Order: sequence, then C-alpha cells, then structure tokens
Amino acid sequence: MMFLRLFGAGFVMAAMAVLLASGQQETRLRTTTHGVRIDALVSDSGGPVLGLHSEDFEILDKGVPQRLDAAEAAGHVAVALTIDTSLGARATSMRTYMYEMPPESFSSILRACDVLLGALGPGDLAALVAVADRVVPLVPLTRDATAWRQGLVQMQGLPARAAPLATDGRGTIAFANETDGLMPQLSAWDGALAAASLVARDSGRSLVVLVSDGIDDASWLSLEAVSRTLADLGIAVDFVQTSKRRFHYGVATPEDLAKKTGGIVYNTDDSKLPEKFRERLAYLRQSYVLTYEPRGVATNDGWHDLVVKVKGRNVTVRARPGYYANRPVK
Amino acid sequence: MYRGAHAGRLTFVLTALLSAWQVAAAIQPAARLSFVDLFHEYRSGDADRAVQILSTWSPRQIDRDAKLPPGQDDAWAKAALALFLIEALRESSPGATDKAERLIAEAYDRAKSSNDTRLLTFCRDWYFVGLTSHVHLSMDAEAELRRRFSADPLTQLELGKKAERYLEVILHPDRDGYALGFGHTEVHGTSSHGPYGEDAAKAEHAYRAALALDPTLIEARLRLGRVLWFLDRRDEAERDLSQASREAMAASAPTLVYLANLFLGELNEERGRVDDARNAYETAIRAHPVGQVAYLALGRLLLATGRDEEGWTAIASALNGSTWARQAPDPWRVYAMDDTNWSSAVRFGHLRSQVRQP
Repeated sequence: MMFLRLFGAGFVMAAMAVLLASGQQETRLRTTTHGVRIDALVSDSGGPVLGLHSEDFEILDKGVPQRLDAAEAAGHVAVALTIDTSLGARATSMRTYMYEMPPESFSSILRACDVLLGALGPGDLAALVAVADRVVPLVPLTRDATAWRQGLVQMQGLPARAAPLATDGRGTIAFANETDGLMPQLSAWDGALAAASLVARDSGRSLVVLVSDGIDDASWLSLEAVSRTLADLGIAVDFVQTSKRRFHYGVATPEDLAKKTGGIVYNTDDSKLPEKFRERLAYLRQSYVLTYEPRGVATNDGWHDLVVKVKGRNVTVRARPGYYANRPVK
Repeated sequence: MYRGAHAGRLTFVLTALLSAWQVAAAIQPAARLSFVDLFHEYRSGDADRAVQILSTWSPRQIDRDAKLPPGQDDAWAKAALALFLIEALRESSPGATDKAERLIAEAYDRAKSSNDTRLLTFCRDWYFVGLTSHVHLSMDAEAELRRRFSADPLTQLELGKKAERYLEVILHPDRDGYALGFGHTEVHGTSSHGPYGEDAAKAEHAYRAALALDPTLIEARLRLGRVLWFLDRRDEAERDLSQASREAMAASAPTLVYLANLFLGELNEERGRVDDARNAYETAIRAHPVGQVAYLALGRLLLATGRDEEGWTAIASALNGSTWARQAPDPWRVYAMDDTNWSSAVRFGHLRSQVRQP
C-alpha cells in the first residue's frame, strides 16, 4: 500500500512545467447568490508564487474593479474518487459479448485507485464513489486512510451485475433474476456531477477522478451539460483509463469530459501513475481561492468577463475568463 | 462498415467458441441426454442447465433431433419448444431459427383458431423478445407483430419504443448506442423533421395507435409526449406529458409521474422557463424520492443558474442514504433500456414461467 506518502518539491516544479506548457486551465470559479469564488494559479519562471494576499490581486468583473474579500492558498485537495463498478468492467458472461472485458480490468481499476489514494498528501481528503447504473457513495470525504482501504475492499464485494428490468406500460417495473444482467450501464456523466457534490463545498481545491474502462451509456445528463457546469465551477475531472477499454466510433468517452473540464488523462498500468498524480495534486494545492461580492455589476445578466491580475508583479495568472451570473440555462 | 461492429462480432464469435467449449467441458456427461430428456429437463427440471446443453448443439443437430415426441405436440408444447430453441440460441452463436419460428407460427395459428388468449399473449411476447434480444431471427419480428397483433395496444407500445430507441441514439451521441442494441451509423433516414424524423413519425403513429386501443396506457402517452418534443412540437408535447403526469398520479403510478415530470423539466429548461423546470423536477422527486436522476437534473439546473448552495444540496440528496442494495436503478434508466436486450431477460423469464410444468 502506498497511502499518505509525502511528495517532493521537484515534482511540484515538474508538474508546473508540464501543465503550463499544455495550456490547461486550472482555475475554479463558483458563483453563489452572495458572492463569486475563483481558483487561480499564480506562477513565474521559478514556479508557483506563494504568499500573496487579497490586496495583491486586482479583479475586473465586466471591467469593473472588485474588492476581494479573501485570497487564500487552497492548501489541500479534496478528491472524489469515482470508480466504475459496472458490468462492463467486470463482465465474464457470454451474454455480454459486446461489452466483454477481461476480468483483469476491474482489478486494474482497483489497483489504480490504491495508487491514487497512496499519492494523497497528509492534508488532502478523499471520498470514494461507485458508479454504474447508479451512483453510490462508499466513503465520505475524509483523511482516514483506513476508511479508504475499507472502501476499496467493499468495492470488490459489490454485485457484479445489474438486475434487468422492464415496464408493463402502466408504471410497474419488473425485475429479473440479478444473474441475468446483460448490460454494463455506466452513467459516467451523472456520476461525475454527483461525485463533485461531495467535494465542491470543501475549502480546498476540488477534483473528481473517474477510473473506468468504459463509455457512458446510461446518463440522464449530457456530457455537454456536465462538462459546462463543472468547468464553470472550476472543478476538473481527471480520467484514469484501463489499458483495454470499450470504444465505439463516434461515441464520446470520459477523455472528453476530462478535456472539457481541464482534467488530465492517465493509464491504470502506467508505472509512473503515482508520480504523475502526486505532481497533479501538488499543482492543485498551489492555487489561490479568491472570493468577492460583486459590486457595480448586475448579478443576473449572463456572462461576465473576468480579469485577474497581480499588482506590480511580472507573473502569470491562470484564471477562468469569466462566469455566468444567473444565466439562462439553454 | 462500422468498425465497432466488426470488433463486436469477432469478439462474439471468439467468445461463443470459448463459451461453447467451456460449457461442453463442464457438462460432458449430460451431453448424452436425448432431446426428449432435455426438453423434459427444460420444462420440469433445471431449465438453465437444459438451455446451456442445447446451446452447445450445432444447428444441424438441432434441426435433426429437436423434435416433439409423437402425440405430445400440442400448441403449448410447440410454443415451449419455440422458446427453448431461442433461449439456447441466445446463449450461443447465431444459428438457424427457422424451426423456432415455424413452431411459434403453428402455436399462434392454433391459439387463434381456439381463441386461446393466454397462448396468443405468449406468442406475442415471444415475438417481442425476438424484436429486442440478441437472437437473430430469420424473419422480420416487427412485420410479424404488425401482421398478427396490430389490434393489441401493448404491441403498438413495443413498436413505438423500437422506433423511439433510434431517437435516443441520434439525440444523445455522448451515450453509447450499443447499449440500446445498435450503433450510431445504423439509424434510419431523414425527413423534414431532421435525421430522426422517420423514426419519430413511426413512434408517434404507434403510440397514438396504442392510445386509441387503450386510452389508459399511460406509458404510451408519456412516450408520445417525449417523441413530440423530439419533433419540436413543444406545445403538444407539454400537453401530453402533463396529461400523462395527471393520469399517472390518479393511477398511483409514481414512476410514471416521475418520468413525466423529468421530461417536463427538460422541456421547460429548453424553453428557458427555469421556475417551471424546477417545479417539474421537484414534483418528480416528491413522486419517487429514491430516484437519483431528478435530483441531479434539479441540482444542475440550480448550479447553471448560479444557485450553487441549493444546487449542491440537491445533488448531494441523490446520494443521501444510497447504498448499493437500496438504490434501485432510476426509472429513467428503465425507460431508456426498456425494449432492449437488457429488458428481454425479464421477458424470457416471464415466458419460461408459462411453459414450466410441475
């Protein structure tokens, strides 16, 4: 087990270089009825710039200067580890031939989860969520490594199949024998948003990590709706994929969700997965959480351009370009 | 040609061969059973085992040996054998289904002539599984249903659902259409309504026919409303969805109330009526509080309109008290997956229960 290992400063620098070079947007913005929250990363040629205070920042909301209420370093990361437990990841039955995946797939998913949890720092938190045709929280947001381990053990014991069911036209749902389950039923988009709710209100930096071999086939929410919502709130979805996975031409994959939310894609069998994830966490911890009460601008007029700067310093600020204020839904 | 389909078929063939070998190895002694014994096992003994054994037989062997004993070929026996055969085919690679199709047609003819409504329903449901499962019938099950059961409201509902499935695939390219039984390249033609117009028109026609035959078939009205929304006939859609909601409430069918209001919420969102959408989602939640999707829809709506705290609270409510055992699949997932291979397991189970003999 590799829980609670410390990370090195070198990884932080390497992560910064990689992420800045790749142009990832690494900010979070949350609007509420009372205020606006922005996650911003400040860096110079030497890496993240630390020790800044609210008076160091300049915020323009629709061109109108705003006074920050607070500017705090995120300090820690709250991770919602969202684990695909669907039939697709665990199928061995003949009947599931179109979705058949090697049984090793689920094992590799669980191994990767172990690695990811082992990469968390002492201050970081994690929640464990199982996702298939339903979304089930297994471990609440906690720093308790023992609870994480128990969650992974519990994950292995979940039923491998979903019960097939049908309606009779009048609202009665008939269930068949659970062993007759035929479909993988992964609601990845729904699961990502549900998982985000476990970390979104934490004071640290929120991150959803989806570990899966699959593709979405059961969500109510669309990829577009979930990715736009999470991106607007600055919550990234990282995706850890198995080496062998389902793919159908023209069908969106969880990589698309990662791409649209500023997340990163990893592979379960990557020997450098622990280092890469530690670097990712270190990067996220360096972000600032900026909050302010909008003044001099409307609060229900749609899109607001945002400019975030650091006064008198030649630094790079990575912040979202704007937010919607009570915007129309579609 | 769709490359995923190639991969799927290749996987299927390889898996079928492996599975057949494994089954054969596991049941070697039983493989010497005569067909009569096997059929008896299917109807009165371990039916799963009988199906597994028959699934290892070659089409030629089935054609030669799968016969009813003289004097024991009544209509129900023929229907039972027709079911046994396609259950076995469902377990193995695609094979000749002619014999099963012939048997069920004979059973249907006898049921019709003797006015055996129970057997007629069995035959209809047999065609339903032919329509929805991965058993590749030689015949056109849809055409057979239209020919034999056009006056049956549930048949019309099934035909409507089959057409509606194509709409889901077209409109939700971010979901895997293979879960619904086909790929995105297999959808039907175009019309003035857009690329899905032909299927939408078929679905609308079928649902209206179902309602004309049985106005109390609430799911048909619910689905009709959703199809009309697909066709951008939003006022009509709203009327039918609202009526479905009212009727479902009166009939104490909470899952249909849930679905009607989920769809009404979506429709209202699209029309920019945020408060109406919120009310609809909240009605859905009240009707079926253990459903997760309505909480997610409501939460996303609130987040999208800047009400973060309420939004996250709604989404978190989807998870409150949820455990794997307690959290049944959401009615939306049932709606989306009904009339697919997934639900055919239910139908196979129901059909089998009718041909079992103590």
